[in-house]
Amino acid sequence: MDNTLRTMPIGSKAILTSLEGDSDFIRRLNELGFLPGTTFTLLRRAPFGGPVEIGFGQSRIAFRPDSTVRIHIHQFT
Amino acid sequence: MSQQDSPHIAFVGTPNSGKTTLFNVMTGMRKKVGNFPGITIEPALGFVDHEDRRIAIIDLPGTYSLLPTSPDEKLTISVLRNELPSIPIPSAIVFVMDATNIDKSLYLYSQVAELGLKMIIALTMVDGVKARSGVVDDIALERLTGLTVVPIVGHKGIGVETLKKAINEEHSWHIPNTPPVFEEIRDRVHWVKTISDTIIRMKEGDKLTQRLDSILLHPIGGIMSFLCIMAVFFQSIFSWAIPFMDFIESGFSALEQLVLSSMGTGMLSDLIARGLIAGVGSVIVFLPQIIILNVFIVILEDCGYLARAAFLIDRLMGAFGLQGRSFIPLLGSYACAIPGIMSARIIPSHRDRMTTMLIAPLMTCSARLPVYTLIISAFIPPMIVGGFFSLQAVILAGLYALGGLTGLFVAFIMKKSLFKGDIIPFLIEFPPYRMPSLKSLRVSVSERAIDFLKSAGTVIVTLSLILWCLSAFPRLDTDTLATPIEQQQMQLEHSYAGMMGKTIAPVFEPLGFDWKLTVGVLGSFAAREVFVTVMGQLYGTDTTDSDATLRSTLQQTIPFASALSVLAFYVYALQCISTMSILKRETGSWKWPAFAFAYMFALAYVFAFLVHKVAS
Ligand SMILES: Nc1nc2c(ncn2[C@@H]2O[C@H](COP(=O)(O)OP(=O)(O)OP(=O)(O)O)[C@@H](O)[C@H]2O)c(=O)[nH]1
Ligand SMILES: [Mg+2]
Repeated sequence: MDNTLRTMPIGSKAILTSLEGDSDFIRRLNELGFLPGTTFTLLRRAPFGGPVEIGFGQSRIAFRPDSTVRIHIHQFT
Repeated sequence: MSQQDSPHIAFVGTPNSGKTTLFNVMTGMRKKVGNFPGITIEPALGFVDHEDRRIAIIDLPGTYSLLPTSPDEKLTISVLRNELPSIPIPSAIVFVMDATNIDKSLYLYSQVAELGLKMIIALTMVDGVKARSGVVDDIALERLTGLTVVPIVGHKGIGVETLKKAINEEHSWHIPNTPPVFEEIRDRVHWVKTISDTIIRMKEGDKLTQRLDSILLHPIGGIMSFLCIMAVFFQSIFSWAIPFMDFIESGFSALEQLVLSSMGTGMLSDLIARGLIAGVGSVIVFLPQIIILNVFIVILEDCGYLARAAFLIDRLMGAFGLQGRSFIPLLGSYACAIPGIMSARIIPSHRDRMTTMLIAPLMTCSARLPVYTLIISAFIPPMIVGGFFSLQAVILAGLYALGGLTGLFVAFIMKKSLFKGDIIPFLIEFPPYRMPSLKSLRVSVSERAIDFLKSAGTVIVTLSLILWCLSAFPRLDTDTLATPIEQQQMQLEHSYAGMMGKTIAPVFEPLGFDWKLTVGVLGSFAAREVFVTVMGQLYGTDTTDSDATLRSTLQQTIPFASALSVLAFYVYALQCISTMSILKRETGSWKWPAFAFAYMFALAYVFAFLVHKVAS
């Protein structure tokens, strides 16, 4: 599981490169504006490996990047 | 409904955009509002009167897109696609656009505009944009969409008159400019981005929300504050309500005394005093606790904390095969399983939703509170433990937690067997923190209180009367040598209730229930709180001694182990007809309520049996 949303430091920025998983879930993330190519900031992580909150543009969304979702990112700093 | 003479207009918008708030001010209705995406789960119909016309409006659940991911969204979409037989397609749409969340609103707008219906835009939350030193260019929005735009501050009523006027004027309604044809979601998102910046520019984030989130969602601070909130919750239900409960209790027993002393000791006075007043009084006593409980839940919901709680708890729910959204119906079920089960519509996955609905009745609803309180206050000493918490509150919290944890455990098993399959991961948008409004607090809390009083006034009165008859007939020829109390006891044993209780008692005997407790359990089959009424009628026999409250009578006559066993039984048993019928409605078959009843009864029986064994 190369789920780097789990390891990237809080407050850092990254670009989403690809997103795969449950089709309804992925479609909804896309509709909310979270698409490959989006630059986002990792705002926080819930404790014990729970969901994450990310910010991009004027949006903030929280979701669980669980093992059924494959997220690839390119981290800046 | 003929669409020509009564145009019916739908309110459409993203979740938490202020649709219901606006609907309420325009129609004078009091539908539930809350600071959480997914409050409205059912369409509501209302009317706006303007000059001499009356226009029908329907408020719909919010959705982010016309491709639904959950049943509440699906409802809205089937109305817009004219697929719902009960609600015809609206003749026009008031698009409720949240100015502080313009990207998401415009995304949905671009899809709704393709429907080709006449529209007006209600641009809500413009106060929120100003508070973040932003600017709203509603003229640009009019130009881009070709529609009339009315800026609104819903809860203050600003812009509402203008909107009322607009929906009444034919020339305010337009078919929107057709947006470009989008091949993919990406194109739509890009289109939204190109226009959103010209309409709304906000210089800064919401400071209050950022500051509060840095505490309430902090990895350690977040968990600590979650636990503190829950602790205060239980402490308050028990401690703060006591003075009010004592007051109500003494009021009803004074009334009972008054009837008995003014009407003598005939059958009629007994019926009124013991059947009616004591029966209803023993349930109404719990009104203060129910109010406190609901105030608490409404405040959590209104300030915006609920969505955060779902975020914090998602990991825990995940361990049991559920996701954070399931927390909302489950927490709601702590007040009452009925709205709780309905709000499971916000859960996208069918399997998660079924599981959540089937465990919702295990959450400790308000109707269990009377039973718990009665037994706890009779059998658990009011000690202080840990310097601050009363032992009674700790036990109560324990029972609440037990219901919740068992529910999660049952969910785990169901997700491994009946509802096997991957979960759709948790996804939510946090609303900004807001000051809970007194108005919505009053509306929601009084609604629950009125429901409770109504049931006390109808169901409980009826059941009290039936139970009184069952325990007063057939009459026993009174033995004049016996004291009044002995006479009463003999009458009870001789009565139909006594006979029934004794016939069925062997079933409950392994749990340590005698025939009176058996009558209590049977009597509360349709509604749990009736247990208290039955106890009042069966044990509250000594009204001549004003000190002998029901609690102390119970304490003297019921063994401690049996009392604990009763608590254990009520933690699990599904004694609620209304819950069963809502389960039927939401799942579409009687199979599921029957299943829930059976598994919960089995749990209750086994657990009460074990508790009784261990305690005695
Ligand atoms: N600041 C501000 N708050 C508002 C305004 N309109 C509504 N609210 C608040 O926003 C929250 C959501 O309002 P609702 O009316 O329940 O929203 P809704 O669109 O019906 O939400 P769902 O039914 O969940 O789709 C509540 O806390 C309201 O008090 C507004 O114009 N300004
Ligand atoms: Mg609503």
